[in-house]
Amino acid sequence: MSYRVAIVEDDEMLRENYSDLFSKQGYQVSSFKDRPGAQQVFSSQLPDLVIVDIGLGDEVDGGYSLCQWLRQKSRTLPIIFLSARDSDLDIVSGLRMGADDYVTKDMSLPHLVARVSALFRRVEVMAEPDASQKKAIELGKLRVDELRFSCHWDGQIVELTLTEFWMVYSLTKHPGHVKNRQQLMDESHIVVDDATITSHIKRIRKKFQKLDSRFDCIDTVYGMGYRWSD
Amino acid sequence: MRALRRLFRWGINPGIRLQLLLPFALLMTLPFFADFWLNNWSFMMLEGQRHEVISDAKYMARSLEASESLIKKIALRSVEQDKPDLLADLVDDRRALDGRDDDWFGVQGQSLGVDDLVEINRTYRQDSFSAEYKLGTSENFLYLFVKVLDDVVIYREINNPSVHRNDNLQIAVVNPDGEYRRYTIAAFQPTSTKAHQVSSSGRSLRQEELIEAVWLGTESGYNLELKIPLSLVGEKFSFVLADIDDQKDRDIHYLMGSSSVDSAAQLVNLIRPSLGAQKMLASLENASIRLFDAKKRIVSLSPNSPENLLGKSDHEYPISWESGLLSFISSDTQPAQDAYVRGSAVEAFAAPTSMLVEAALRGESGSNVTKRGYAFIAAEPVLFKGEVVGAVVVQKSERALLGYIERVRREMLVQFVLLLVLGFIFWRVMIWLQTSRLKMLKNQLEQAIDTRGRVNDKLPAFDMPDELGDLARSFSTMVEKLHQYNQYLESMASRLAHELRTPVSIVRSSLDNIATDQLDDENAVYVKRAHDGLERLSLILNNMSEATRLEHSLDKDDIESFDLIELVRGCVEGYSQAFPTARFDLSIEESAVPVTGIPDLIAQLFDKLISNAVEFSLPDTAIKVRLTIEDEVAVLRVMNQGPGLPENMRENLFDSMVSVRGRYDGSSSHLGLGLYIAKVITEFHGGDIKLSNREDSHGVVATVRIPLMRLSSKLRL
Repeated sequence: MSYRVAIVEDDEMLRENYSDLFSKQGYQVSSFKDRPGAQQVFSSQLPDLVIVDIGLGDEVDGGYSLCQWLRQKSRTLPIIFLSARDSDLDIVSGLRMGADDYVTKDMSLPHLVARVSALFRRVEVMAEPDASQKKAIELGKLRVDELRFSCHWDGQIVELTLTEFWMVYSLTKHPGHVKNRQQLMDESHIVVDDATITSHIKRIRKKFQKLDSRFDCIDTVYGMGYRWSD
Repeated sequence: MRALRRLFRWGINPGIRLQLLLPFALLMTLPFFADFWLNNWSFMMLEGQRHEVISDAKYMARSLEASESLIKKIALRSVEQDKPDLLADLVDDRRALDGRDDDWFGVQGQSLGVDDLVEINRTYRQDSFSAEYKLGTSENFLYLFVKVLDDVVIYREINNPSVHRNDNLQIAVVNPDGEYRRYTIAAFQPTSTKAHQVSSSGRSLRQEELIEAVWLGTESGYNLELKIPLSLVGEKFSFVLADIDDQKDRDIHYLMGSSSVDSAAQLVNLIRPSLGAQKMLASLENASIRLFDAKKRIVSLSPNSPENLLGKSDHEYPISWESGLLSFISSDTQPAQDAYVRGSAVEAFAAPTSMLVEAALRGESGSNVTKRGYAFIAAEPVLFKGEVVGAVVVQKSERALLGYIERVRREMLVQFVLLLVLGFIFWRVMIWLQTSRLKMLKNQLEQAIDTRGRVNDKLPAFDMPDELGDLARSFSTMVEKLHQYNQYLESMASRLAHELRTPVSIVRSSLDNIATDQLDDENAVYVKRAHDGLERLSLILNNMSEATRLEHSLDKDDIESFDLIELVRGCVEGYSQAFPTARFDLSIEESAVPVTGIPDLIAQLFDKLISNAVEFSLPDTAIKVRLTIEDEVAVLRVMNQGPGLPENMRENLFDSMVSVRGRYDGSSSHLGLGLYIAKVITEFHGGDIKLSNREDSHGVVATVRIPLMRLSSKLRL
């Protein structure tokens, strides 16, 4: 069966482009131009995945409210923020609202498609728990599950966004090797500047440190990038 | 305003203080004007007083002329006499009749000697007999005090009726009724006694009860004090002392006195101060008035004339500014006292007075200022039947007035000095207040816009209601508007980037939609190019918002202490990979360079410097990186060889949107934000950054100075 993807975007051309793209990928697409319209439909039936712009018409933070409303209806519904805003503050707020990922609008469509399909794969994997064993990376206390897009530290789950997951995955695939920022960007399918990468790394560190205050496995190699070390 | 501008053009630049001092300086001339008017005023006051003195003199003279009895008396004094007159000093009745002269204040004794012998029966010997007398008069009595030096004092014999066969005092008068009377005072022993009226032959007629006398024996002779009612005394008077030294024969050795008492014709004039005239003279207050007779002798004095004041002590006439400085007047007229008492002429008076009196006696009225200029004198002749019989001299001290004027002048001066001092203090305070407010405004204005021309802050609004407050408020509003505009401009880049992102996504998503379809090779090339262009556009948009995002991400939570050497070494290693064509020459002389800050940001800063250095390097030249510690500051230098910096841009290279790249470089996009970001990062770490041309060769050296860890307190935390 094909997944139902809902796109909430106030810019008509962009909305049409995204609709066309996802239709071509074989998804069932429904698009909305504002929050009330989307909520009206979603209240009767939820889609399998929602892509939301933050600013919706007159509502500057309409995307945030919609995200919160959706999260109340379903805890597991994958939500991706798609926004022109790219400051740390926006990203952090978006993720705090309960979104699964946050991408900026200048991301290329293939990357976006990849993200969407990754989210669907996670949903699928979560549905069948035993298929994941062989694809997992285990490094000391760390366990990274590529299929489930989940990351555990010392048996506890680390709540990472997709972007963050991919960064951790990229670092741990070849532990000890230095990944520069460009590589991290490519493997996380994002196009951002160096400072945003830095802030992502910072957030990842903090998430691990929340579970283990002595966590210091992500080394900064100045001028080059980052490295996972045990 | 125009005049002020002209001053400035001449190179004279009076500060605001000086400009405000000018009117104050004009105020300083006020005392001179005041002094001028005071002088005029005092001149007029003196003139007025002098006129008053002259008219007083005329008034007094006319008043005397109008009183017939007085003027007759004065005229009488002008009759020529052989013998010198006897002058009686004015005394009061509050005296003890005791034979002592200690209560004869201010009356000078006249000595009797060989010249005063009236009758000589033996060879006169000074040591045998001499005397001294004092003559005084009150309103009702005539007083005589005689101090006799006698080697042998012979008293009256108890049983002898004669009063002349012993030492005695004989007086003769022409009484007011015109009758000649003679009296003799003798004593049985030193005690109080009475006078005997005697006949012209010397026989005692009766005891005159009205004349009181006290005989007091002394070591060298005897004293005699007499009190005679004026009812017994007229215009003529004389007295003689009889000296008898032999107890047995009791012959008169000498007779000594004013003149012979034997007949009325031999008596001398008794000159008493004219009490009638005196009362008249006293009617004018605040002026000393003297009445002279034709022989320039004082007939009468007003109570406050200098001569009358002499005998009184100071506490009786307290010195106030109204009563003037009497001691000065006294010293001015000291000779007059002697002249009056001796009965001689007025010569001894101060020259102006004397000259005026002489002129008045010639019939001319006149006025003058005393020698020392403290008093004004006017003289007026007194006429009787067309003849000049006397002169009135009115003298008024100008001291009181002059003193008053002086006092006014002094008080005015003190007040002006006080006023000026207070005014000056007030002026200083006001100036200080206003200029400090101006300075404050100036400082705030200077701080409002920093060296880079960025508007930093709003001005605190002055709540003063005056013009300066208005100015400050205008500035405040201006700066606020400028600040808003500046903020708008600063956020322009990131806002623009943000706004452009949606259209870019539309293009990108459209292209992506095309790309998924099957394209022929020719079209695929164009789509690829469109993609590349978009990629570059995205990068530009990212760069545009980078600076804004950097300022947001200066988070003090991320600050840590780290070794700069490790960071620099790692970075340079990375650069070797990132820029395979460039050569890096790293030299670190220190063993450790500990700093406090955000290492990621420092690395970002280093990235910017290196990418600039690489870009502007000539091919096959090395980029030198040096890390040292100089004066407790970590110094990182990045040197390249290549074109130097343009002179005119060195200052503002660190501003946003400024770039030296002259030509469009197709391979990368630049907005001139790199060095701006570098500067923001350096300043966040409490350091500074500068670019300069190399001195040794062509090229640029970028120097970043960041305080070492222990000195990093300047860090903006």
